Amino acid sequence: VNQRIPYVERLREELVSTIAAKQTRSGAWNRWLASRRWAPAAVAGAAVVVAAVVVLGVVGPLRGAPALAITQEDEWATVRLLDPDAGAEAMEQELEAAGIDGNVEEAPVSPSLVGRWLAASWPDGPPEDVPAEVGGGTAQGWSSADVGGKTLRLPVDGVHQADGVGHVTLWLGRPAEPDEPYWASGSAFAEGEPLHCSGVEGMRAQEAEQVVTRLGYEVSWFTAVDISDGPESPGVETNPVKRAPQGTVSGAEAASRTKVRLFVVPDDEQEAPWRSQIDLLEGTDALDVDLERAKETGEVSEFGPSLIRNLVSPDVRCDR
Amino acid sequence: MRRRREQGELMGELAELPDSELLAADDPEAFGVFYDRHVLALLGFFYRRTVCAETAADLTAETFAAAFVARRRYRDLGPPARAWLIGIGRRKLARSFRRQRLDMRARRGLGMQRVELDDESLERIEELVDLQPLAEAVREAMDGLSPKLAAAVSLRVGDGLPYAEVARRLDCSEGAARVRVARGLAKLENELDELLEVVQ
Repeated sequence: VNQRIPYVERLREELVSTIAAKQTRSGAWNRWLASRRWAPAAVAGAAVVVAAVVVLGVVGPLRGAPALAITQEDEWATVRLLDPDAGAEAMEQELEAAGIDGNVEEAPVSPSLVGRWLAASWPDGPPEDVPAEVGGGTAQGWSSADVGGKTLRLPVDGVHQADGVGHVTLWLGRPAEPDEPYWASGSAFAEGEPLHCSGVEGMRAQEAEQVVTRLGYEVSWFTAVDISDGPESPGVETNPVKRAPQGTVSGAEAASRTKVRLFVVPDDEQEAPWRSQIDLLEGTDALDVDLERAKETGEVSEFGPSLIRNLVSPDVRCDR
Repeated sequence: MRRRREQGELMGELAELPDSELLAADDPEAFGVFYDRHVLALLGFFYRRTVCAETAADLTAETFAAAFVARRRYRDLGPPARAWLIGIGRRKLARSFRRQRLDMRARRGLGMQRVELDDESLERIEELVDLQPLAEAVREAMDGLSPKLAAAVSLRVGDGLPYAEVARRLDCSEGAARVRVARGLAKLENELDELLEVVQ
């Protein structure tokens, strides 16, 4: 049947002859290695390398420093960003060299997420055994892996080449163009973000609107209502509203270089979200100590959500 | 004459071997026999999904190159080799869609030249697949979507509108439009995969 499609025949010839040529090349290489005729050349080559390292060590850094540090142990592959500016192509080559079938996509993000991993995603959703530390919530094949970090930990079964499972896309934050919407944003109160040290956090919404507008940003409003159903299923529901609601600003994120979203806890919801979030935090080991200290100093009742956010993300704290 | 006879005997022997042994053998001809067994199925698989003979041919070439590179990872533990091969093809296809360009990594790595598609082959590939059931499958899958998702997919994919325009026409935020399109496509993909398996 194949003979009826000339392309299929020609492709077969190309495939088989390429494989044969490749095997001939690697066979010749193996024979050369076995003959030990390589020894004098290796000695000369090593001398050249040593000389190059000495010269470059004096003159300047070696070129071609790796963009990623990739390690694989047991069932895990760890991909650490060494040079976020190296570009997706260079990173993909390093992934391929490490036997990882993956590509790197760069997405526009707010300043605090530039040069950070945003997520790992698989076209059919993550492999079944992706644990919570890689990213629990998945939707549309997304895994919220270590958002804002420099290290991704991925299950080996989900990244190996050509195993029928593994193509993974690693998403990396890049600076946005002037009018480009952000795909992901850090807290707008974090260092480098538009409202860092603006004092907007915890303000009444109407007052915050004046401050943010004065800073030159266009505001869009959201109510933020606690919908936690016990410590096992925390959550805050946000809904867009047209005007500044009556309430207190509890969070903010930049939507682009000129637009900011403000999240407001409505007055009639004030107590519940703060209280339940504190209850949730009490269940996590890492935060217990700080929380105990905060309770002793009385800061919890005084600062509410600001304190909680600072405990969770210390870099949000304004030191000015 | 004698050499040709020997070659014929070798091909006959190879043709008797199961896929797993063809993949395990370090013999270009063994891989050629593996190719013969599956090339039309793979071409058909890609043509049904791309409706483009040239793309299907390119993806077939890339998938076989990747399969050769990965042949030692195939383990004869259950899934037949064709399913393994199509698994590779499925990922090549997804990658090409995502990047909006054909993946050539495996061919480059192997040092393979691109084989041009001639008009006769193009016609033959098109004849391999009857697209009528596929058209019905797409209509059926679209009917299965909710009106909101169907409208979003139709505007974005069918009409090629930017998300901002899709959002404006659907009177929703751009984010909501993206979510609707993504959900719609994911659902369509699931539905179509099932339907395509039946068609296949």
